Amino acid sequence: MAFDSLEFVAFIALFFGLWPLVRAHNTPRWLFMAATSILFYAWGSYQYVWVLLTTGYIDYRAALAMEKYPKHKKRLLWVSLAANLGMLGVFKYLDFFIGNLNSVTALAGLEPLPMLKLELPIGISFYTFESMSYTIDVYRGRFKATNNVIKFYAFLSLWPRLAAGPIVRAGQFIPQLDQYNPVTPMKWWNGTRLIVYGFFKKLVIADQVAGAVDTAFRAATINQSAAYWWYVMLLFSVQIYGDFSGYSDIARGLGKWMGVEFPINFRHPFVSFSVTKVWTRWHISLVNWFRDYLYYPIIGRNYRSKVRGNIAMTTVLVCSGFWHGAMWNFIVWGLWHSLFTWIERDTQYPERLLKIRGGRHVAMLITFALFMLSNVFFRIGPDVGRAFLIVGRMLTFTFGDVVNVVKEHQYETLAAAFVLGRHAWFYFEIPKAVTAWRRRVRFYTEPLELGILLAAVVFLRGPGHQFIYFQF
Amino acid sequence: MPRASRQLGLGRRLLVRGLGRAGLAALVAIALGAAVGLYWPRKDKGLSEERWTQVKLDARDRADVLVLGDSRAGSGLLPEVLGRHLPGKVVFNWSFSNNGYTKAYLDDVEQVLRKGDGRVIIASISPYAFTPKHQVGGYLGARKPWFTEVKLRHAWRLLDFVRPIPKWEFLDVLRGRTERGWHHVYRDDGSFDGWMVPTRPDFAPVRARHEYIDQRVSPAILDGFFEHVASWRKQGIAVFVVRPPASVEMEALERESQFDEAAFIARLEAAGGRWVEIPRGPQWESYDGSHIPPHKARELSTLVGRAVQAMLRGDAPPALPGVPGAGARTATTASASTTATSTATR
Repeated sequence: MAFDSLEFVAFIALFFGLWPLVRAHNTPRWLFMAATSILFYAWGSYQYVWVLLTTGYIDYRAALAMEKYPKHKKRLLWVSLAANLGMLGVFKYLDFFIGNLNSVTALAGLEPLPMLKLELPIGISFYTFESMSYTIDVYRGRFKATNNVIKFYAFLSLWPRLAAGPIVRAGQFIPQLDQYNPVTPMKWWNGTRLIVYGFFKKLVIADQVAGAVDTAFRAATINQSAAYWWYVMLLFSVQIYGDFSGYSDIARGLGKWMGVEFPINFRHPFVSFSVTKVWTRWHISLVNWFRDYLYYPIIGRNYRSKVRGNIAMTTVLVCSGFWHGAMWNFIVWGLWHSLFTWIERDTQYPERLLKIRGGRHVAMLITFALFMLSNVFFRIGPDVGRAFLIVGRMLTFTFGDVVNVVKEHQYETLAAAFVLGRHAWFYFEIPKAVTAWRRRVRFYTEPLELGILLAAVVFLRGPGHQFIYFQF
Repeated sequence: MPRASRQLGLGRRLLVRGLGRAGLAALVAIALGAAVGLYWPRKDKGLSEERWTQVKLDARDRADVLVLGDSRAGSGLLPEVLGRHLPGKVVFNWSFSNNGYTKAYLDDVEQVLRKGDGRVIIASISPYAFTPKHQVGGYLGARKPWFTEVKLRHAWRLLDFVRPIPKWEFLDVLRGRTERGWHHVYRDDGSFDGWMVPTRPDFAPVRARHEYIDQRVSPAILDGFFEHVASWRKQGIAVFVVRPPASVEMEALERESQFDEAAFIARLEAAGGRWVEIPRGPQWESYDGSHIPPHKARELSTLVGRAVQAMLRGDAPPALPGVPGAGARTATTASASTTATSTATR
């Protein structure tokens, strides 16, 4: 069910209309959460509800069994990982491996294996990771398994973040389900603000700039202007930020309305001063997952080893790229980030720049430029060679026709300026007097701002585009 | 505490508690929304495109005279004008954008026509309508999920009120330049007026070069079309076929689809249909290379209306302006005429 549809409005009206009747007691509340979440999921993807229910049930039973039979917990953990990764592997990655194998065997003149061409269940990359985090944390003894299957499914399937995160950890979230946290007026108001900001970022910003990006990448021949591609990649960076952070904000806002907290997923990533720092500000929940369940296990006790650290970082970034999609461009994207993270670690250039006057700004601009360049690989699809051609064009740094490019995309420029302006507000130190003034008048300015944003969401919404991260 | 401050504090507390921040935000949004909805100078007049398409999808027993085809029919053959030459008959334009002559579309024609005598079909063709690429969009692609169609049937006034403002229009209106860009007026008789400021006659040919350059007319699709023509004729429905004009460049591109007009006319007549000849050439001033503006659409509709009226009476169609001879082309005159037209359009 798309967030930007009348059906969704009807769904949340129904959900929150009935919510006061069920929220006070645990079992009815969990049942209501789980049932509505399954309904929400089935609306768009009814044929794959069984995937969510099956992998969830396997993990629920495996976690309980780990506590009952601690001698076999390692085996049970492998069962859980195999079920989750197996399901993910079949639906998402099997055709990738078959395709690549066929390319190799074709050289030997062998018959190609048939591809399965399975549709990717919505949200599978998200809920399998959440489910695995549950069993891993139980295995590590960090979290006690729940013996209530309804509560477990309420955790796993809760609808605001089911399709595209944030990836929620059992240890942080399940305790929130143990009792209902009444929604204070301030929490409700903050949730409303998040929801409206989220829709604004998605519908007014991301969906409106998507057209210009699509046109650039769909063209039969590559535009030869470097300025054009830098502009397009700026727009794409704004698009994917608006789309994904918008979704995360909507999910967090809806969570606040329910009295639960989802983790923050974005923290002004464009003003990071290093690529390493970007990954503490962009898709934070995924990065933290990989940090806790892949990076640290690889590092082990050798946390001082630079080589081991770099290997762990590369593994995490490549896996992160591959998590996004079963295509070589995502692997190259991960390697790109890995390469610059290695350079940063070895040369310490961001830290050195921070020490000199104006160096912070230089570091930030270099990082943003690298981020935009990496997004060429993220956006290109299967044609990696074309991505290198575009990056090559961008690195000629010829900006002769930048004025014409901007003139042709005036609305998109405004949209990008809005996003960058918000980042600049965070980046530059705001005078204390301004902050104090804002605090004094926010009773009036916040509703005014929200009303304007809401009207903009209604009348300036772009042509419908599915949330980008729904495809992962 | 000074009295003014006490009053301000009290006022603010009342405002916040009384209305609540959410209420205040809602008020602002509703006021702005009402202002925009009521006063924003929309470029697109009439129905919204979605509602306009839904009206056609829901049409049953709608008309005695049905216009079929794609967006060239939608913008070029106006029921209001055709109806003046076909008195006593209700005319409805049942064309769809990017429409091909698919089996599903042709099968459903009869449920849109009224039952009884005197029924007429005016089928507008373009070569791409008989290519494989146009067998997936158009009428087949117009169907939406059931809940969307329910909204378009029952909540369309609300949806129209909150119709989004296109981004180019938003900036143009703010700068007081409402005349630029695309303009559409969608009518509930199924037709639409379209124009652009400034015109871009290269728009459609550039797109066609990318999207249709490898498309060829399919014999199987043509067979299906003529089978339906024969079937309609058996039911006493008069069938006329017309090829609306496009820009010279667009027509040159369409020739690469290997559409044989003379052969088409021959098969049409064998199936019982009649061809309506339209003079071709640069006088049709397409604004985007594919569609003609409203004043030219009225001209075209008048030509077609007169020709159909004459042929229904059993008379020879009126002579075409600027082209000596009859307004209907038969198979025997087709070859000579095609050669003459090709020479003129080069």
